[in-house]
Amino acid sequence: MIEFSTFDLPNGLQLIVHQDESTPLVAMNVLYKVGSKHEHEDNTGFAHLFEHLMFSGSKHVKDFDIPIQMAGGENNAFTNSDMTNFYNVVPRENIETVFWLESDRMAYLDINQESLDIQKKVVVEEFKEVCLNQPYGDMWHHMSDLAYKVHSYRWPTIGKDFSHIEKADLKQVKGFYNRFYNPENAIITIAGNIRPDEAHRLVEKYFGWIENTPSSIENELIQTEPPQIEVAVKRLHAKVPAKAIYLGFHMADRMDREYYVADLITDILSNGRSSRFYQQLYKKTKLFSTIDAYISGTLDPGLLLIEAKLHQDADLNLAKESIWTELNRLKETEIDEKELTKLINKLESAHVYGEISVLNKALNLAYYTYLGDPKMINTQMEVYQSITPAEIREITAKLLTEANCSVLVYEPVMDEIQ
Amino acid sequence: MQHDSTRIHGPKISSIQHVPLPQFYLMELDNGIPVYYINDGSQELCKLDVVFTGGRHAEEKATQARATGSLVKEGSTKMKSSDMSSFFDYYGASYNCRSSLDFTTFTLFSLSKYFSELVGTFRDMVFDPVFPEDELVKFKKNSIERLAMDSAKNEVMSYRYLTEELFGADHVYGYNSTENSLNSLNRADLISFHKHMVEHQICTIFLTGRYSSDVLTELNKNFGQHSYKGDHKIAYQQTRLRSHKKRSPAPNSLQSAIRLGRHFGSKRHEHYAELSFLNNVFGGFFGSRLMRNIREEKGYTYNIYSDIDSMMFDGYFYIASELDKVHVEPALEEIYKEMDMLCTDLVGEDELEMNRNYILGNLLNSVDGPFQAIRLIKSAILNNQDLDDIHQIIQKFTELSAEELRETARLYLKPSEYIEVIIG
Repeated sequence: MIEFSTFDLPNGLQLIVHQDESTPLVAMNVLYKVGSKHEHEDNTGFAHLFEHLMFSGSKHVKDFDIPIQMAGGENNAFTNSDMTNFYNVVPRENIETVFWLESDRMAYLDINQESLDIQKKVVVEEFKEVCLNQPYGDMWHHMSDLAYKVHSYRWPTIGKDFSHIEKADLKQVKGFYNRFYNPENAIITIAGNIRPDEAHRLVEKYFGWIENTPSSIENELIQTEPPQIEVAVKRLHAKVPAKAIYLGFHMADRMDREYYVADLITDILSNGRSSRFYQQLYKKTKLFSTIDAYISGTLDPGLLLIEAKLHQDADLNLAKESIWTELNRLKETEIDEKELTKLINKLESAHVYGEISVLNKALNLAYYTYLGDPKMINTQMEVYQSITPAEIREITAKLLTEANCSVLVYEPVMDEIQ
Repeated sequence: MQHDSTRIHGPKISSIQHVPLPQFYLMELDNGIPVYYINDGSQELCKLDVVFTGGRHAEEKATQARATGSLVKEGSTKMKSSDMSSFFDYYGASYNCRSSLDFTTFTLFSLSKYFSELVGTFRDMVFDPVFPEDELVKFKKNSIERLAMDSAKNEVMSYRYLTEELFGADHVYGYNSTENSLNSLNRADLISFHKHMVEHQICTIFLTGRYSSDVLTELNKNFGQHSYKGDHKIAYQQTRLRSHKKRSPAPNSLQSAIRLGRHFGSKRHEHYAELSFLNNVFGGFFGSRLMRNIREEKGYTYNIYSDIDSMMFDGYFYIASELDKVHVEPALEEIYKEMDMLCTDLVGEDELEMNRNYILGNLLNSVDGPFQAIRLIKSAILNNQDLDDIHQIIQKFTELSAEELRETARLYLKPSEYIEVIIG
């Protein structure tokens, strides 16, 4: 059970504080409600590039890293399709430095052409390192393009193509900042050795005066993805070491009960060494070198994914069939009580473990506040515990169908002669 | 708009004066096995590590340690592999065995309330594994395929080459697994490696989390009763290969991998604290010289870093990055330039202070909570250090001067002493 206090500032900024006196540290997370789904399709990858730029300096902070490191702390950030998160962990005596840094970031943009050019280069290198230089590294590019036709989840956070990043200019940077980096579009969460009233006082002092900037940019309309009616298939011949199969099934949004059931279904399939994929497919057949199932975890309707890498000599069709056999088994027979208890016990361990670090607590509080209610941090286990075998079977039958499936297949091509 | 001086200059920053080291206890099981334990925190979880020293040093064949560590999980004389997985998973627990260069570590991680149910089966896994033949076949097949996959990555190849070039391709710290070495393994190799490990060595146990005293009692019942000879000795052969350059083309890749390295030593090396500090300044974190220059000013790469890799008997210092081919030569030039500057100029007071606070802040973070804290304790104990040694290292961090840093740079940042590996 995580206790917390909430404060709403007049400028729309939300603050949530969890006090933990057992640690010498304080973690502070600033979530901006902007991710790659808010981008225009011709300027993809911008939210993530922008996250990089936000370390290049603001009016009073010429360099974000120096003060935080001077304070003995660490900061970093991540962007996904729904949000951008900046997080800091510092020794408690230096928490005020973080308030200063994060409020300067929110209030005083100061990006010049030179820093934009450098970060564009860095992000293009990241794009190459992560997506192009790794076998299967472009999997998300293909899968999201295959599964989504209208929703802006159809490109990955890093961007559709690095030419989009290369053409970003200062005008766009300014417009994006004014549109999204406002107090009313942000959530601050603080966890660690600090009193809630003290945190509130500091937030008032450093952030309370910041005004929301009127924006000339229209919010991109994020369109609802229509239901998929037939299987979508893409076959790639690429420089990969072995065949791979990816299956993506559309599923409900984050607030729907179906989200939890889908999550549990992927646990049945691949969480732990006693899971069905591990025992039935990895261990028993000689087809797979790895096989996994997971959900994309997005706020809008996302995907339930199955990812399998095959042994070099394995037959692709046989592999596909054996995956479907396992999926169909879940539709035909309800799981027994023992298997369900196992899933819940595993979730409980993970849940308890997740509540150890102050940073995790700050991140989770921000995430649930973004979903609509920080109290959700304490009710997740109850939702999982209430799921029944019948419900699992029903949702499996609904989601894991061929018509709802996007199939991506990689087959290796031989190296050209060097 | 805010115009006050706090907005302009930022709030006052306090130096970190004190890093409280975690409180831990030592007890001996009935058979003399030492247990280092922490009982703290608010989450009712516990983590047990049973560590055998030996690792690659006890190998008769390359990759024997790794294969044994991987296959020991595949069932015991009392429970077959799939039942064992179901058993631990049912309680939401996880178990593992990893072998590193120097150690083989068995880990059990569980909700504390289930520890007593689990520890017996865990014990059987540690002492009575069966090593099924078909699992070994599978392990070889998987490992060989993964090897092929990894060999296509320039980054992995640069790492493999560097250790081979530093220590020699047949040395315990230098060799890398090959298709041949994996293929030559047989079941008898695993059985003999394991038997030697549990019969001749005394293990060391680490336990952390929040749990009742029953956990220690159960631990003694399961791990405190067997006998062992304790006569295992390690004969370490030190090697020092000369510096040179190794370039291997990989024409079809977008990025090249570079790795530069030189010998250093273990965590007990007399300059360990000094080089750790210097590493931090040079390439150890986001605010380091390499990162600021080569990523943040030049944009040549997404990531560049340096680090010390210390094993029980030796270690090395290295620099690594992945970057576009056209940036390789300019980046190398900058790396050597940065080395030279640290050997010539004194690090300024602000930068010194920033590095010091960063290192100490990081240490604070690394001992926060029982699961983090045990890692520090484990690393110290396994490297034959005690808390006094750690205190001394921390003391050194707080008082190290710019002159001492420059002296350290002159000892360890001489370009001519580096082995240079470039793939792609």
